[in-house]
Amino acid sequence: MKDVAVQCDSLIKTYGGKRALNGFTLSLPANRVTAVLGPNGAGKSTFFRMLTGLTAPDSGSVRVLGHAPGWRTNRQIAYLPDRARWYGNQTVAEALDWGAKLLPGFDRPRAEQLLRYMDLELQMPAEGMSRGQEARLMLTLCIARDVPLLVLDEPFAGIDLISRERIVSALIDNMSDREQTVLISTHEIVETEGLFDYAVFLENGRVALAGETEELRRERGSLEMLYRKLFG
Amino acid sequence: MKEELGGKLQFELDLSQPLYEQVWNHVRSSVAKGVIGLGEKMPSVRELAQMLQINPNTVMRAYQELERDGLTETRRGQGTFITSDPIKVATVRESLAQAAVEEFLARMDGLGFTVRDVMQMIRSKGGNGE
Amino acid sequence: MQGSFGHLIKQDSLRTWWTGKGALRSPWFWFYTVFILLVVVGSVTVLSLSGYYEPLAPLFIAFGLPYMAFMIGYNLFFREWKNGTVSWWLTLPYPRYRLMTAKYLAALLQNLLIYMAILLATLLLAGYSMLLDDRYRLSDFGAALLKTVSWYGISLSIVPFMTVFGLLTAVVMSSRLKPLSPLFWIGFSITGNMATWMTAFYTDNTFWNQFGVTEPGGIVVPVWFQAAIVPVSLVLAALFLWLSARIVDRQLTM
Repeated sequence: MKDVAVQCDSLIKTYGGKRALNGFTLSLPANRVTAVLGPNGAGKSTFFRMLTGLTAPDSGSVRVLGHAPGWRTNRQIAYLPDRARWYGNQTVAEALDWGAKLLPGFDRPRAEQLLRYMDLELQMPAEGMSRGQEARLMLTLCIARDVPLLVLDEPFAGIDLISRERIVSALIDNMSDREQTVLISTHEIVETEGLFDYAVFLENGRVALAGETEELRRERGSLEMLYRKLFG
Repeated sequence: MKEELGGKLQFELDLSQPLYEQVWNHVRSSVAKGVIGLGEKMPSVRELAQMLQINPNTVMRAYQELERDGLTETRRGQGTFITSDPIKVATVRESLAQAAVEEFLARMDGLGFTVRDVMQMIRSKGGNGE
Repeated sequence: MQGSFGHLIKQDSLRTWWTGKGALRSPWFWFYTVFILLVVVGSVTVLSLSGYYEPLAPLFIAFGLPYMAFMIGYNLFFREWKNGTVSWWLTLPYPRYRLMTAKYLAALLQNLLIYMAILLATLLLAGYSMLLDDRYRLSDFGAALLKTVSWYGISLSIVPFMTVFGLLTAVVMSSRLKPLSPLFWIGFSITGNMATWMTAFYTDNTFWNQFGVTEPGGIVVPVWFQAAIVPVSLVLAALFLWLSARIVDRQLTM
């Protein structure tokens, strides 16, 4: 087995009587692009929040890049939270300052290059941006960081087609440029499935299926078909 | 120039089959057909990944297979080129043809036709033959 | 990282007032400011000229300000939740106590600036009314200045505590300890008023008068209280800050 980026063992997490994670066990290979798929409430966001130390499991163990999650491991993780918004009182330039001042590994020249590609101007205020523009800004902040782990929770949710295509292209460039473990949760499977070389299907707080996407395609068809078969 | 070749390599992926095989096969048949000429420069891994909107690792894997076939060669600092050796192309073309024939015969076999039946059919299709 | 702590404080400093949805950017804010200013200056002018105005009447504002200090601490934390930015903030690669301390200092800074602005406005208004009212002379203004500064000083002394109390209340509200929040709101109504009841308690008390400053109005604040409140406020602030960082680290409902 190659390097493991994420290792979860028998995670349990309960929110007000509902089990968000229920015996969640998973091992994810390093330097791969992994899709985290599943219906709403399957535990995708809870899993991601655990990787970044936002929440702790009731029981079980999490290792991310070989350590227990916490503020120290967050130095090495670029994380796009689910349903996140950007600080309305910042301009794009101030958002870059925020990244440069607060986030280790933040590559400012790269961020500025990405901005041009994402069609954003430095003086634009975050307040008043469209959902798509805001998503592109937040994604820029994440992928401008040279860190070993990139975690994107629903980066395509609720944004327009052009924004999604730009984000996908930026991700492809990013994959070409650096060795990085990437985790992406999404419901836009058809539009993005070419990106992934590993896939994890979650259901009711546990892993229903995990594997190499090329193997899964050979044996069971496209990720979309597989998704329909598992959850349809 | 680059764009032109890119255009030739643009194709629809079937997401229910392994993607690297499709990229690999597409380049092989494009070369066999002569759509891509000898010695022509291939798009970079990044460019092709962008064109097809797929993971660069998938393209990389296809490129490695192509190189193993002897169909492409990597020149240091310049990129990947289609071989300028016509024999190698002929070999690949031959093997693709073999594979196609075998696949075809297997299908016919599945329908209950013997090789002889098949020969007859081909002859009748070809009118007065060669 | 170099300068990260300063940047965290800057994020939540007064700049939030004139950026984004900040109040200073709203035309209504300016409309009401000008409107209130006109009414206040107008009525002070009329009342002073007719000799009916007590120049130190606005001093009562000083005892309302601890409530404001609480709310500023409270809002600074809650805004991260309300604006959907809390996950960015809490996944910053810094220990939670540092994130909380930066918030606290930013809130404290905001409070200090507001205190100074209101103190200045009170003095200007007092000076203005004394100029118009011929019962007063310069020495009266000197006494008024001293009294104003001392009142604001007393009020300000509990601000380090009130600010962190607001912060902690917001933290508790967003954590598994939320059922405790009524206690915090009761605490808020009592402690916010502390300056008032401390002084009111000693009103016209001849025993304490020998230790404190007696005013014709009858309000006295004993010296020992003035001396003790600052360290007590600071110690409690440190304790509450530590508590809030701990709750953020362990008990948040996310």
